[in-house]
Amino acid sequence: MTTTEPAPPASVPTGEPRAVRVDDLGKRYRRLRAPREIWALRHCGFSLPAGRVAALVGANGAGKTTLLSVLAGVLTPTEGTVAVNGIDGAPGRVAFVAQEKPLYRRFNAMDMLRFGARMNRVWDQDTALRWLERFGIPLNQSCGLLSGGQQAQVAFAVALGSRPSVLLLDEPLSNLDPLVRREVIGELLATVNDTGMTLLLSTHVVTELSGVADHLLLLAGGRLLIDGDVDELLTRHVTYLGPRADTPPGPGVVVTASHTERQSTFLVRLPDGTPPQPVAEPWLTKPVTLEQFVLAHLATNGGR
Amino acid sequence: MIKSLTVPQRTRARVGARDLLWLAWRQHRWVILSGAVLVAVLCGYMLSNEAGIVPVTYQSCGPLCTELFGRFPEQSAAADVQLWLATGFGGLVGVFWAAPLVAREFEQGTQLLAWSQDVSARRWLVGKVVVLAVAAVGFAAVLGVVAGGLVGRLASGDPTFYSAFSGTRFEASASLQASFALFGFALGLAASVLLRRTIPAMGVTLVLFAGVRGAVSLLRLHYLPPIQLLVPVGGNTPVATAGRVILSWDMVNTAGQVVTAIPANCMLPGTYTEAVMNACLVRNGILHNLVVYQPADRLPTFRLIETGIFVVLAVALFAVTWLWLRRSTVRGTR
Repeated sequence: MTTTEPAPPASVPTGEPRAVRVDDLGKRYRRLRAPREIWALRHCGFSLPAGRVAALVGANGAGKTTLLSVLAGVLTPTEGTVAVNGIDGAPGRVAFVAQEKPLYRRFNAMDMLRFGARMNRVWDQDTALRWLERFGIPLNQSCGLLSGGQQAQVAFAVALGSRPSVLLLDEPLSNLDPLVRREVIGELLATVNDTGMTLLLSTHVVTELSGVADHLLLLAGGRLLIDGDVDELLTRHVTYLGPRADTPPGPGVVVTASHTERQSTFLVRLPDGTPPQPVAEPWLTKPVTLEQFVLAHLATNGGR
Repeated sequence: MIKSLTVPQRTRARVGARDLLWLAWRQHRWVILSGAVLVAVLCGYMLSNEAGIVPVTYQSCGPLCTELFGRFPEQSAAADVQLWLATGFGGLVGVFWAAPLVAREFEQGTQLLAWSQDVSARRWLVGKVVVLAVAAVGFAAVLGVVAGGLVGRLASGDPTFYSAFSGTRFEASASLQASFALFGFALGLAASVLLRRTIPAMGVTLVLFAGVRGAVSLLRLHYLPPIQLLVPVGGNTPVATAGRVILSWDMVNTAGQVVTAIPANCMLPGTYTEAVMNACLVRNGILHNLVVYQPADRLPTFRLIETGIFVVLAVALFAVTWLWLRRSTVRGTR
């Protein structure tokens, strides 16, 4: 495999309203043993288009949870700023569902909705109840006795009931079975469409991102490597497939290259503004899928 | 539910204080109710103690012995246990109410839930503190009143040798018990927020509460400079009134110096009475005793001073907790 420098941020259309603006964000943890301090996040700057779905990907320890916690306001950044904009000029409101989907164990689902109603300025009981009914969550059972998937649904219901302008979901799909995953994603996308909410979700399940995420944030080792519109990122990359070779047949910067005895595959970032050029036989040009794109960049950065 | 279905979305300017109190009560009601049961049982136990009503005279004692030792009130041992339990309530509050309060949320990750709603971490904590600390202080004050009643009965059974300044008897007051509970709560809360682990926070709270209470009780007899009184040898001692505490009682010679040992020529074998001994001391130039004591009427002042000490400590701990929480969470606007 060949390692190259990361892709520069893809240009974002100017003028599109931004839901979140992050500037030079950093979070340092101090510890008693060496190393005494760890930057979980450093020099992180991006903005998210409003009313869209953004995916936050990265290997374990890349800083995804730290970034989401800072955006959610449950963790103070060491440096940098976060600005959250609301929908239609209203003040920005963030809802956050942490990875463990925390709930009060002795509360039942209805108690959790009461919690959401009382702890938020805005509350939509209808939306929250519909979500619970949609996924068949028992309303009168203590949350501690619900399954992991059911707990996740209660946490989503509370978050959606608070009608946030930005919804942050940390590994939302991890506790759900594959069928429910698709339903949850579908419902979330519908909510984004209906309300103008912006959704930022972190995930390991890269395969589930296709057709879901409009915007991609890729973190590695606490640094933001990729920040851009998914379609733009994908059209600027191409895969070359052909006989064993050391260099790709067309122009561009190699992101990853893999070789077998008789075959070579190159994932290449095209020079700015050039569409994929036809290449000579026996080489094949294939479009890059989001999954390939993410995995290539994760692999390039040593998984961190 | 029907009502909320007809109003799809409700918007308001701010999350109200009542909502914060609701959450604290809803989360901690069983802790508060079990505390109420404990306090009721302890109060009943103390009220059922008939200490002091029937003074006991030891039959085998001579008159002097009886004067010295024979008037300890009946059941004072049981009363001591009861008073210990009552005065330990502040520690229980710190260890079992406050220390797990935030640490358990950290262990279960629910602080992420609470802090990501439209309420700042600090307002959320204030809701909890108001509900639990008010309950703790109220319960402690009730215990203090009932314990004070028990001590009053002990004193009435033992007017001569009873000292209002000794240990749990001094502490049997509503204001002191309330300040102990407030301090215990503030200490447990600070440990909870700083350590973020339930068991370590409970342990630290227990050790520090016992340590600080013990250390402050050592200062207790010196809140105000004690009264020094020269009493003629063999004369009446005006300090022997109920409730006072004598810090020292020394012989003083004509030069005004304290004499630590009884002169050797007064230690000759023979039958001694108080009169013989006093006469011998006077012959040796020891005309007075220097009595250093705190009078009984200083009791309310001393209790107030100690209450003040613990209230100040509690306020300082609350401030540390507040600043620490502000440092570790953002969003001053919610």
